[in-house]
Amino acid sequence: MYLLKQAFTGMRRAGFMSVACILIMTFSLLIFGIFLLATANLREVLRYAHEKVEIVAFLEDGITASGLDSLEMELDAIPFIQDKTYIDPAGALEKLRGEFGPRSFILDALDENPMPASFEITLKPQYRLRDRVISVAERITKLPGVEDVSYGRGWITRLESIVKMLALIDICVGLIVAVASIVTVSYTVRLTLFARKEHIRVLKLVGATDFFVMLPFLLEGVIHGLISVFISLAVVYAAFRVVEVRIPQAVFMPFGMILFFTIFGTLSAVLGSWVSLKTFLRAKD
Amino acid sequence: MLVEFRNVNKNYASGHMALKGINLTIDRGDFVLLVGPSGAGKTTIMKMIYMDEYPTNGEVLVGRYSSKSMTNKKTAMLRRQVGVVFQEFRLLKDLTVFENIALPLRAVGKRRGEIKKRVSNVLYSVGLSSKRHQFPLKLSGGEQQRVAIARAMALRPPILLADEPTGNLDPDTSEQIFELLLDINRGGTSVLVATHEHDMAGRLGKRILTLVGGRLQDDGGEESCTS
Repeated sequence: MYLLKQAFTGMRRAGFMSVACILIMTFSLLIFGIFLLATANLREVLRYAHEKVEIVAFLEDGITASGLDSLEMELDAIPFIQDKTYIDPAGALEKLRGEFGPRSFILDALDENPMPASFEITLKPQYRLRDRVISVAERITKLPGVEDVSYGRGWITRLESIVKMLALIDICVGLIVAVASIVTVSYTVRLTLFARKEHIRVLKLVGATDFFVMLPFLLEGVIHGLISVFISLAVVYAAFRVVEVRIPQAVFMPFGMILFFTIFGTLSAVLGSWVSLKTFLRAKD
Repeated sequence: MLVEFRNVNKNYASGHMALKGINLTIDRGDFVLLVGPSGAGKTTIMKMIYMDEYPTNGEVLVGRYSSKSMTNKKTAMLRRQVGVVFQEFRLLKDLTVFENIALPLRAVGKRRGEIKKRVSNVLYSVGLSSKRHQFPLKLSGGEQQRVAIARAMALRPPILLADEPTGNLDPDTSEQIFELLLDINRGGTSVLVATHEHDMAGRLGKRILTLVGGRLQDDGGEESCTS
């Protein structure tokens, strides 16, 4: 109770500086929060894309019934496959007709069905990653009776590299925000420290340990951090709600990300207090 | 032996030699007056006892602590054994009398009930029970010094250091403060008082150490007592 009282006294004394510190931290965290929100959404897109990942194995013309049976058995032996559907040439043409829609009359000009028979293969969810898809596709290509294999290699690779790039930007923005928060809080706490120099001096004279002296200031850092995290999260959430009206599929940060954001903001502020305190306590008087 | 100075010298970076070859001992229950003009080194001796200053040469021993092996943690522990009172009282203006005295007890982690009991007792012993909720600036100089003494005694230290405790007080109040320090000494606490009031020191009939230009003139222990 005494420590909490001291922490709030420190904030009251710092007054305008304390408010300025919270505003600067909030602004920095807001930028970081927006990047995290974008990452969360791109991950969601990637997750959705992975759900749609499908390998199509086109079969050789004139594959025999026994050849088809043995190919089906080979496919069943691959443990990563969740489901497979056989499409015969007529079915493939029908599908294409459906995709052409009103322009499907073009297909009437064909003398014979050019579509090959195929297997549409879905992988188990945990194996729908780029490298795994490629390795399964390569394995299927080598199977007898398979002419060619198609899968969305290009766009999966692009999407994964965008997410990787965004994660890298998150780390960079996170580092910049952390440094900004540490510097801001350390300057604010330094002002409080100078204002409470005599208090600290007396505490040290009566036998208080450095830790006891530091606690109210660290607590002040926690309060600064938590207030900034709370405000910036509220603003990011409000922005999300606005975006959600236009893009209903948009998602907010998952709980783990919110927890990380809160710990990150609070720890940056505590570290700022700690830096100031260590410098202050090392300097005699 | 509670306090021992072994051939202590203190030179400041400016080149000023504050203490020269100091040897002295203070035992449990002693009442010692450290007299000398301003700048003689009285405050430096005090600061060395609560390890706010360290000797350039020699060694200071306080209880089981040596100036040669102090750490931050040890300094905090030592200061719980040494009560200190200053000429300018050093009370925190934004805390009440009660809160000022409670500070050292909070610093050592005493529980609320224990703090209340101890502060009440020590306030009673300095005669300020009725002023517990007052702020220091509402009190007279003598009362503020009593609060400072109460704070220094809150942890019941074996030794109390008073650096010019009556420097800002009128003669009558000074006499009352010395009476209070003698009372504390009668309770078994060693007391070291730095003062430039040589006459007052002489009247008390206690051991006097005279410090001139950083040198101790009469450190003969009990035999140098002025009765």
